[in-house]
Amino acid sequence: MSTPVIVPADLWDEDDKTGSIVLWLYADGATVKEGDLIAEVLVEKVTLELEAPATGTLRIQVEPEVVVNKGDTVAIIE
Amino acid sequence: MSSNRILTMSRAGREALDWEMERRDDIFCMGEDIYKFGGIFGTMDGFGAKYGPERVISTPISETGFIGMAAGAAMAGMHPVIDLAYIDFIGVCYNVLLNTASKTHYMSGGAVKVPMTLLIGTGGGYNNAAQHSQCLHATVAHIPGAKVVYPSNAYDAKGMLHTALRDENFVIFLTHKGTAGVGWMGTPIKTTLSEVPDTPYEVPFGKVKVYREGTDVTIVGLGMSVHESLKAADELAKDGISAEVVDLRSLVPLDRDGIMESVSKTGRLIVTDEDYLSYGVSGEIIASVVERDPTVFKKPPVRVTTPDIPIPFARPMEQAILPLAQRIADAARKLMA
Repeated sequence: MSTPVIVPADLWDEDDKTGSIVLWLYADGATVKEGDLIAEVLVEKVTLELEAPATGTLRIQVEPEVVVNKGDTVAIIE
Repeated sequence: MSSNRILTMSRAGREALDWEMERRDDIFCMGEDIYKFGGIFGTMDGFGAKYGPERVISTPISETGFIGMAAGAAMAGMHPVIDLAYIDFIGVCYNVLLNTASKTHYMSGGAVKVPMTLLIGTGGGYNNAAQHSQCLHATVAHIPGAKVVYPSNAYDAKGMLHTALRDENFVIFLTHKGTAGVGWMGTPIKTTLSEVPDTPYEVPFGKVKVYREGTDVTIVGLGMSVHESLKAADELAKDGISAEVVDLRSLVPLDRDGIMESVSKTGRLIVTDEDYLSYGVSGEIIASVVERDPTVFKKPPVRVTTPDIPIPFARPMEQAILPLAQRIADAARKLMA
């Protein structure tokens, strides 16, 4: 079973703003636990955090510096 | 928490400080914008809510006052941790550093210790002009009685901050702003990121780290210049030049033997330093090797630094004067010619 890592709709307030991944805190293929902080997302000058929604193997789909929107899938946890 | 985490320097340092604060009542934090904001480099992120206003004290813009206060608190048995943000403003509290925090242990015959940790951001490269871009680490490393350390990656940042917080005297803990890995400075530099154990550990002061081994030329750097040197080493490898990159990690104490060991092997030395050229770390490193054995040099040593001019605001001008990878690689090619 795999769980997508989705940028939550309430991660930041304004719907017209985009973000970008600053950093993945685990390498592609690493094992992560549900609730681990796995990525930093930058919106304007504010750094926000993404948590692992499940335990498993992290498969990164969006690299740092690429624009992301609310609702985007940025990784899969297998 | 999974064990193979990759952290930024900012998060790694924060973890060390948090661990020590949870266990020790003597540690408290002071600085501008720390209670709500966690400091400009995020080292105290969330600490206001966690530890409360008595242990996390946001100050006015008054370094003379609050750093003097910190030195007094340290003498009285506390361990203050001060976020000084930008080293450019060290002038306003220099007397406390120069004469009080660094000298009281000696002046009192060892009776009075001054355990305080001063966190300071240094460096430029992001268009913040002449008064917010300086390194000035030689200016603080020149003070007898103060230890000065300068990690360049997350693993060292955590371990060296644990060491600083357990030191019985004054430690100046420098971080180049561009290496800290805070979002507002852009995407973190890959070579600053490390796997960081979630358990505490100490990295001792006064030992260089060979980041990359090589045989033709030694490139000595610190802070950001380590990362520029690593980029240069990648470029040089394409030309068949094998560069050894040595990270000083600590200015006081300085591992002169560790530097000598590398230069003895390669016979060629480039010192790269984002601080000003004259009267600085680059000259000190070269003098240390010459004093030990000038015959190790196959070619005269070279300095690649910021020249003795105010740092320009304009991006092309700032990029032209910083000791970036291209300048380091060019210097190495000349040494090999």
